[in-house]
Amino acid sequence: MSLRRFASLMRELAEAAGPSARTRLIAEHLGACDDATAAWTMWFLRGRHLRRAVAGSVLRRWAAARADISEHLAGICHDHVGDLAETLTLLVAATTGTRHPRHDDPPLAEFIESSILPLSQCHASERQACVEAIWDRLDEESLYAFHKLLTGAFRLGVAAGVAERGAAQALGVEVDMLRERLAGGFDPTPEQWRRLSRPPTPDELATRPLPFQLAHGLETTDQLGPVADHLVESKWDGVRAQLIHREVPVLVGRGEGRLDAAFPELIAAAASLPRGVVLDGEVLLVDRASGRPRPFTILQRRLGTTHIQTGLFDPDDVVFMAFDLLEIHGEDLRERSLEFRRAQLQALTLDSASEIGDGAIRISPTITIHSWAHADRIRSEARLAGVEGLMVKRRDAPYTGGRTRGSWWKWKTDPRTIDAVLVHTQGGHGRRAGLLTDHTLALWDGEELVPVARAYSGLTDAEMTELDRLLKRTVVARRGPVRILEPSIVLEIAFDGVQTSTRHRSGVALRFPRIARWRRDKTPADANRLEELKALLPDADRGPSPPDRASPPPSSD
Amino acid sequence: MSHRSLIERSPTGLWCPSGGFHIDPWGAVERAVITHAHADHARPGSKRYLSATDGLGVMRRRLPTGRHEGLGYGERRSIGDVVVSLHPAGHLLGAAQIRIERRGEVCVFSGDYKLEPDPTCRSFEVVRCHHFVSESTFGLPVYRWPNPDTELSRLRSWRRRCREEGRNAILATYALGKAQRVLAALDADDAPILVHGALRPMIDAYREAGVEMPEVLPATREHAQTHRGRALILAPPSALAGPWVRTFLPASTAAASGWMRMRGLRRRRNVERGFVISDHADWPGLLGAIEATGCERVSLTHGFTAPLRDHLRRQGHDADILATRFGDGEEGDADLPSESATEAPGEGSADAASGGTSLERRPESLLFEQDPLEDRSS
Ligand SMILES: [Zn+2]
Repeated sequence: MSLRRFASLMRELAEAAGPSARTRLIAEHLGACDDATAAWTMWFLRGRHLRRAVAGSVLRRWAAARADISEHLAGICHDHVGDLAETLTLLVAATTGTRHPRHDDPPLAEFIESSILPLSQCHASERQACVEAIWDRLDEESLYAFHKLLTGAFRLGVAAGVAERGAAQALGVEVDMLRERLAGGFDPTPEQWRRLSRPPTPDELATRPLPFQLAHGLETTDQLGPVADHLVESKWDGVRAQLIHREVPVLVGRGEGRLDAAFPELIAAAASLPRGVVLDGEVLLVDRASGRPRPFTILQRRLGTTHIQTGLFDPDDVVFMAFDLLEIHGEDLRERSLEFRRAQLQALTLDSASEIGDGAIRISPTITIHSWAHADRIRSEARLAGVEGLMVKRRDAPYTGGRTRGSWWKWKTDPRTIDAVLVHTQGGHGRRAGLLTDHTLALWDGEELVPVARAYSGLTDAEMTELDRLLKRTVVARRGPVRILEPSIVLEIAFDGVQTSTRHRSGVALRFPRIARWRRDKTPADANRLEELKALLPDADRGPSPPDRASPPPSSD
Repeated sequence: MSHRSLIERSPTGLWCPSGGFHIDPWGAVERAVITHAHADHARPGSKRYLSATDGLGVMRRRLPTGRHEGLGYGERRSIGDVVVSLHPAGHLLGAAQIRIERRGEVCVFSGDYKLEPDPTCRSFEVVRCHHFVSESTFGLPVYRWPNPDTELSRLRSWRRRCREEGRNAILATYALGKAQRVLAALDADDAPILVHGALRPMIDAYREAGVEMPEVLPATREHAQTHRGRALILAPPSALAGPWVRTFLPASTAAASGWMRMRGLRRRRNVERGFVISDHADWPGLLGAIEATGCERVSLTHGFTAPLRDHLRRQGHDADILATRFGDGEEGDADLPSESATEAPGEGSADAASGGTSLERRPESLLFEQDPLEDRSS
């Protein structure tokens, strides 16, 4: 892949609609280029950038001289364009066309290694001449890529998961394994790139997770069939992971990769499992006093941590809530029925010396239900127990990880709602293009409206169009694409949970906020107050737990 | 040189005291000489209008009231103590620079202009003068136009690609000038071409003036049905931001404008593609035109006046700023369609940094090469 091709990859990634399109682009590009260039591209895809060899202000000065304008004017241009690399490109591009009508298109790796990297080594007095020489030989699109690389402000802006999936496709390896290999360190060399695609080593085979089975949202139980064909358990709000003990114990999150360092307690506990076991489950933090799981945000702080201080005074237990058994004695159980796997899982307790039961590794209790109506009642109480709802699984189904449609259903608790005032809005994308549909909603805090959520979906097309028209009349100011509105519209917002947040001015963040309905009957004065929302915070997030809110977990067998 | 300037600023607009007429006045006046029919230059309410004969049809549609009179390019007319003549500005059909002469002293008011050839109008003509009053809409060195033919062929291949993918190609263009310039570059291969109602009157006016353009159909629901996924649809920028566009989905959206030179502006405009096709002079164009007039003094109106003035002074020119309301959308704000992109980054700071002289354009109107009022007819 040449520099120019790399430049167009940058553009295409920015323009691509959605992660799957970006994954495909990355796979195509990585698959088509030489190892050295693929290595560099992968390195950038992982969010790395080159060390800035020349200060931005210096580059701007050189570009100004070249374009025959004052530095001051170059500064005005920079302010107008907003992006230094683009400003440099526009100023410089005009000066190259006539000097070198035929532009160079060097391979990316060669260009970085022989043109950009030496800039940091060469003497300051020679740098300008080196940069000028590069300016002489590139066309506009390549210049832009060069400036992005040179200024160190370079971001391909691709989510880690997308880059890893794209690379895994290009290399023909499993994404989990690739992620582990990358996590072990990756330098932009052809050797390291090749290393990513070699066959799995025995070590890797021993720590490899199996593709996770996914659950789908359940709206109604009408189509499910007899209650007796299903197994029901709590839907835990934790980190989905596999606890593996083939050779050595490892913990692998779905999407997070290895979590050994974040949860050493679980690694220690897994060592006492028999060899050849793979458990599927959910990592939770459980409040020792109440026995209830802590909110996801608290758990999240642990992820990405590498040095955990555990102590007697830690009020929480780390728990692996196992709900499935995928391998036992090295035998793959995935083709067997859930009923069978579950029985084997329960049996683990009996014939092993581990602490399964009340220790760090527990079995997610199944919930006995007599009818779907009964299940529904339990579900409505689920929130009190600190879980998200119920899981419903077919007893006779195999474990079909990696496939989109399965036999597992998540039946979430009914969302909570709150009436909020629409305070900012901006235009939507795709189907909603041209309509003001991305709304910021606020609650009253004293005399002030404080934003608490952004919500896009939930209104009908007709409502969206009508609202769009109304909102355009109430715009009082604009900030970039954002319209500041005169408060007039009240929307009922549904959400799945509320958590404390230090990133939001309101101090709270909603999980999955969406518009439930347009409250035409309400004026902004009727909207809810921030403290009413904060009252919904889980106890653990608010401080000491008031006694009346402690409640037993769902009935279990 | 006389003690009194040939052009001064008055409350109702630029005024030629020796001739007793206004130039592109923003208020209602007795006698107005008009450079071109864009809404920020041709305002209603005046009694008599003088403009280039080529654009009379367009002008009459824009300003139905008032007495209109045409003057052929290059024809000399004595008004008061001065001699007035009009010269092609290359901006759009009938666009003129106004040359004013008084006892051997010559002042030229450029109006809006571009230097590239445009099949829909007469090309810009260099008029030697002592005092040149130039626009500066794109008066920053980052604005350099690519070859318009290259951009037009990019536009046509985008259009073909959309048709292959079964998507309509919706192009945002200004109703007067840009739409006709784009149409004139198309031919039967690009059919079917649908146009938004707001574009229709000016297309008709151009046809009546003899400009050749391929056949167009009104962008109605019926035509949208018949040509679903195959049509090229021209519409004013405001329409792309509104619910109108949804009749024509699935579609790819694009805009043809000088502002599309900036990635950021392209993104904020919320269009998939941007074609850099402008009816204004770019930075080298402005510098080249100013140089070519041989003027002793240059005054700058609407746009990046201060940066351009400073640059010209650095080059040894006698340059100043003539404050006008051209390019200003202030009266249009209430009606301003929610054109999806709004602010250009850093224009305010550019202003402050360059000594605080007012950049007359508001952020909202930055994406309009002309006054947003222009799209009111939609
Ligand atoms: Zn104009």
